[in-house]
Amino acid sequence: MSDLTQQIAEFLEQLIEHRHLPVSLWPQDAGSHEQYGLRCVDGSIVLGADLEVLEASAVQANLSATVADWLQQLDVYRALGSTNAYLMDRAQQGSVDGWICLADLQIQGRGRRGRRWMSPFAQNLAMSLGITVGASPATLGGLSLAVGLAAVDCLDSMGVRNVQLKWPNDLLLAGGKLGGILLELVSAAKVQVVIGIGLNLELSEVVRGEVDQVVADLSSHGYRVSRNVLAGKLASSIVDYVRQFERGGFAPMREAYEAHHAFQGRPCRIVSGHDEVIGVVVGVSETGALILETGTGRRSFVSGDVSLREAN
Amino acid sequence: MDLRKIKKLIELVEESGISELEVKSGDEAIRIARPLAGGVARRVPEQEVGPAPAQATATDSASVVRAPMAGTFYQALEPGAEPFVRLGQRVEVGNVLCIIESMKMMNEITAQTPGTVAAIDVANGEAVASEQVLFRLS
Repeated sequence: MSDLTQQIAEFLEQLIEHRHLPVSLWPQDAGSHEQYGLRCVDGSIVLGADLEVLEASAVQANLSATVADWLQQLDVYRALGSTNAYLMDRAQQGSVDGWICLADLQIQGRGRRGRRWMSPFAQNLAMSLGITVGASPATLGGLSLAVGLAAVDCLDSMGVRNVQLKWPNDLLLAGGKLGGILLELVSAAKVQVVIGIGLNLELSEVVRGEVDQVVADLSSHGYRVSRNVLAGKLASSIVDYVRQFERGGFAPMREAYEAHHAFQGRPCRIVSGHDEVIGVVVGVSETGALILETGTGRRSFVSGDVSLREAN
Repeated sequence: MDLRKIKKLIELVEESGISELEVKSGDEAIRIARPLAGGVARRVPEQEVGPAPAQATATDSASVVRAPMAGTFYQALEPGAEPFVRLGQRVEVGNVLCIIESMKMMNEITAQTPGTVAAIDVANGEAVASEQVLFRLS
């Protein structure tokens, strides 16, 4: 853990204890406290009344029996660089199977290809889990979509309806980005992966202003969920879907995926590497590739950024 | 792909003297590789005077790095960053060579043997097939 992360973590521990702290105690090197969703009133950083911080025991109490058995270690940090980076580092020293890591605040939350993922203090869920997957590395792309479906399923069971997926696994609510998922393969030989998920529970205006895309959070759509309950249930759902994926691959989930796919049947643009292709989304293949009907026939894609094509 | 087509491709590989050929059309893909030493007779260069160029021997002992999955090939951690490795660079076991992204699954490809990067067979941002050759280390 870096010095700065340590300083922020200590500040947050104090803040949780005292509910408010002089803004002068905020570590200056971390930049503005506002970008981490912290509010300042009359020279003090104030903790919101309904703010819920993560507690390992509370997360654990919400794990399914199978996942509680599978669990080897559960780490909860007030502040961390990134939960995915944390587990990827640990994986250099040994197995991370059964390891869950959560952080109330991420300093360097990671998105795809170096993109930043904002995770303000206790207003977002940042969770990573390490898991060994009994599947061949060549088929693992489909797992990425399976994890997206696991999140949709879990949110639905908690009363959050109408969450949609944007291929491969962005979570959308009313067209805005509610969450993102990033998988990193630790080793192709052992087929161990680190699955990271970030979900917006509540976004302040300042944080919204820093994001260059349309975002969504649960609270502005009237959903109030406990972060600890969500963490436990989400981890359980993800592990459950990984096990289903081990048994039958992505193919049995294809129909459910397409039913939740926000861009199904719609004209889209995909930027994949140097390629930019326009077409209508036909669906996904049995391995999870995106299939587009283009002017020159059907084409499938295993990576890229998809966006809706505005009608001219 | 019918048998005649495959036979034609094998002939093509034999005639050309290349060690490997991969053809992809639609959903079908075929790779034809032939052993470099033993078994099949190798074409010996006509003029074997003086020391052979470094590259010719390099391919002999080359260790080939292949894509474990289909995806997009990235030479750097993020756009604008320095590439993990350059041509001619020395790498040790465990050094990251590139990233293959498949449906937001990021896979860092590391060197399994020490060596020097003798060839980078794919351009940054290009799509690769599973098992496609990415690097040759000598």
